Amino acid sequence: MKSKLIRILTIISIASLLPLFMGQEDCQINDTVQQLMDTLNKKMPPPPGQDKLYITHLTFMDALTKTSIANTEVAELINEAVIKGMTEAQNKNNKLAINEPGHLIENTDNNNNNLVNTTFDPNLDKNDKINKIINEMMTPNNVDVIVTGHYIDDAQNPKVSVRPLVIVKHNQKIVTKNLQFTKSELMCTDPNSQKKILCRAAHDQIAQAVQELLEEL
Amino acid sequence: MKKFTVLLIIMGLVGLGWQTLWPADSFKFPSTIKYKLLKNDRVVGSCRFEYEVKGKFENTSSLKLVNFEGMGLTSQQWLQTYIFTKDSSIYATFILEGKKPASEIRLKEGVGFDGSAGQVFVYKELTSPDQIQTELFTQYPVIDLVSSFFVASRKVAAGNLTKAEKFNFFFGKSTKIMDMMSIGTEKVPYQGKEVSTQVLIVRYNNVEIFRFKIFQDADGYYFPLSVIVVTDFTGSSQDTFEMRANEIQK
Repeated sequence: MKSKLIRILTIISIASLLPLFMGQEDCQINDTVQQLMDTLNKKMPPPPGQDKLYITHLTFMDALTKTSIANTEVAELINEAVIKGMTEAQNKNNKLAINEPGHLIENTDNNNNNLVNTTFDPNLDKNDKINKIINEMMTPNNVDVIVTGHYIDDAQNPKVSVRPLVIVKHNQKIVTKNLQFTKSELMCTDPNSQKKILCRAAHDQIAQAVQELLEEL
Repeated sequence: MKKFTVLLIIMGLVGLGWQTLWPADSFKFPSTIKYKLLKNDRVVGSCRFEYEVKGKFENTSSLKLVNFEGMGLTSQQWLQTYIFTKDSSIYATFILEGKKPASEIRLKEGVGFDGSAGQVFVYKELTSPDQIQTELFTQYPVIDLVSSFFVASRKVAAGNLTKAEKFNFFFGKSTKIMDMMSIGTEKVPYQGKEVSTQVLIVRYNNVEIFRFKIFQDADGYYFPLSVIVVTDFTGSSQDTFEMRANEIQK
């Protein structure tokens, strides 16, 4: 109950929610928290001249080797969790449009490599990198948001880091959440097919993190 | 007559010296502002805004919204924001329950999207180890609703009204780039009189979110006499919500 109250106070200030609370008893506040938060988020207007915020997805990057993890087993599994999170965010906010025709950066090796090369280019500073991503990848493809991430499997560290990154063009920012798993928490085996899969909890946490970040555009 | 002239010159020099020594102090903001909370012009509660020049963190000032009364929230819950004294940008902001921070946003050293170190804003809740990090790529000052009371007043005091100014506005767990701009003057009732205020609006993607009516009193203190929260961005709702100052302490 307390955590819900905290959440609402954080989503928007106390003051901006007061009118929504007024006339309600204490105990009713928490029951309406999620609904109010969703309503306010949906009401935030998209950029001028647009009805929607256009979101696309590129495969995670290996922040140690500075390469894309595309075409690896774990990449496809993480992609599935990320797409699930994006879809759930869209279900909660119909102003979000995912991989719509005309507003898409195809998740190809070429595009993944472009993103990696720009992100880790030692000759560019951070602002140049973000401007290059916006000007050369997002604007020509009419995309407002890229969902991608870092994947770090460091032999020195018992934990694997899975860090979704959400690049937001109109607010000139990147929001991210760092998730850490032991290898056995991240990768499991499907008892039926004996194929490698993401463990259920890891899959859900990655999807949940993406969904949460897409509420902060 | 001569003595009087000498006295005037001395007073002038002292005044000039004071201004040179303390240019930042030319902006005066009240230590306390009491607000009534109004819904559709009907008083439904009250709260208090507090300002301290020196915050508990180095080079910061403290701003608080406290003592909510007359609604579902309890006076145990309050908002506190620390701003850098130099440019009024946020260093940290807390939502507190009693003395405990229930959540916080803080400027920290973090790992950026390219793996390099840099300053980022980190949001976290007391009850969860999870953190959301925001990495900004603009130099716009970072503000939130609490600090916007101060920043809007300072903007009017500086006479910086001709063009819209951009801010990274903390809205929830992360920021949105919003514009603050003047749209003219308006008379507002204050302590039995109609007084003139400068009206500033805060817009997101060209849609108004907040409206501040900034007043300068006879002693040169600037503060929001009225803060209006636009609760329905579509404009279809007739409800208005307003915080209106009825008393200050200097």
